[in-house]
Amino acid sequence: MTSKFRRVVITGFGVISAIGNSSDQFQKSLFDGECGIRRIKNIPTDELKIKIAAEVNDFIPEEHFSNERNPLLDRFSQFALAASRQAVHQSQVVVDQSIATRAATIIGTGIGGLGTQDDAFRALYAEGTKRLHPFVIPRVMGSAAPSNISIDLGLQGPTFTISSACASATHAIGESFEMIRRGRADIAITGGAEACITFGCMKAWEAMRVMSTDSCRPFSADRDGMVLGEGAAIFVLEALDIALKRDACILAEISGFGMSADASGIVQPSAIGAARAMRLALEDAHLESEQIDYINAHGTGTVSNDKSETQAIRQVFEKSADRIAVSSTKGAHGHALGASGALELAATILAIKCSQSPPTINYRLPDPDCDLDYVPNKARTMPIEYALTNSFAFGGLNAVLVIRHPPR
Amino acid sequence: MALDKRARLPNHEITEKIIEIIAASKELDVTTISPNTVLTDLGLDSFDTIEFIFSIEQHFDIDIPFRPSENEVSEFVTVGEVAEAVAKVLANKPSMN
Repeated sequence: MTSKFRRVVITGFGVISAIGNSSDQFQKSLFDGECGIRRIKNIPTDELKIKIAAEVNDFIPEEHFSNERNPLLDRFSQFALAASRQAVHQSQVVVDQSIATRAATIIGTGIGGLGTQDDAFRALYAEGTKRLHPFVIPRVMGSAAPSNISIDLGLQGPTFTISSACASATHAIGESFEMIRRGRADIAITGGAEACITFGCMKAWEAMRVMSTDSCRPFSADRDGMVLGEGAAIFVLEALDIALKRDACILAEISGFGMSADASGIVQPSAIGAARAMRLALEDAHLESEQIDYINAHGTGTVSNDKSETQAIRQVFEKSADRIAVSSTKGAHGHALGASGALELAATILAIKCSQSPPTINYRLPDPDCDLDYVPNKARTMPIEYALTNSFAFGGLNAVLVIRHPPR
Repeated sequence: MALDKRARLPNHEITEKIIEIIAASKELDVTTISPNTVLTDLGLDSFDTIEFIFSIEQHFDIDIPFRPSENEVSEFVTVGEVAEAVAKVLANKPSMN
């Protein structure tokens, strides 16, 4: 098969998450079936009905950033920056003048610097503060994460944030893939970051009545909602020819990207829209549905999403749906909103690299409405040539990537 | 005080207020809604119901235990069932004195 487009590969990634603050820790926790959902530590929970979340632990900003840089960084930017440094370190790419202007930085976030905004506006509205710190705006802005990454690493190409709620990271990674394959950039630092576990945000999510009070159990008959998470996963994407030229270690290839909008409910998912995004991703990768071995599902653990996603997978894959391993890793790292697609791409890359499907943890009871093979509770060794990773957002926004084993 | 008065509201007044809230949110005439009216017949989907319950919670300053259910839109089928749930919560509400 020949294509007018360049091929795009992933040569490094970094992770900050509730189940590990490095790709190695994340990998171990993921396949061991570790659950990062715990009682919330970082904010008071007395006034909260939902007292659990998948918080990032043992992340000490001062260990990562200078006293000069740190005050400029909201927690979501801290996560993004720390993960991007890990990614660049793993890929061993050297950003010099020969590639700096051809390097894009595209990051997904659902909300941006929410913690900074919460603190600043509380001081203003409730505590009578007369003036706010001049760093509030550069910390809060949604584009703070890519801006800080570009400054930190000297990346001078297209740099911006994509915000599409829970599909933000997948849209950002997909757009980076598009830019490289069409020749607008040679390399991209991309992924997603979110730090949304604030008192205000938890109260707002409680009002949606979609949160579980005890755990996230995707696809299980007794699932009763999602659990918020936080963190970042950032990737180095490169044109295949450039990666080969510098003899880079290739972790995986991105071979397709599909997007769609349901154009129906603002919060109710549609199987039709999700199925269309999956079909478009498969077409983009020139694949038949039976070639997919593994799907990292959006799998939020809400009654509605998991049923609708199951229907969508059945619509697309028909009979071959029964031989695909489908897992949701949100029971492990929580639902990190705009970062979730990035954490799940990290899980998908590891699945391919380690020839193992990560488990759907906390699974207890089969649901007649969710009748696929969800790899319950225990990782499974299996060869994976092609995988899909799904992100479906409020607003009916769908984004799907096809990931392939690196060229052999 | 006002909250205590609300706590002693007879059930028909609770029902009237609930009908008023739902009529306002869906731009309907109150006379077209009765306790036997089925919520879905008023065009309420599950997210509308979440918002409707929120408006009731705000008005009566109470928390109504309720989880949206995908198949039936909510565990409440009729307007009267919502009124019963509100009356129950109000009856158990501690006095503000």
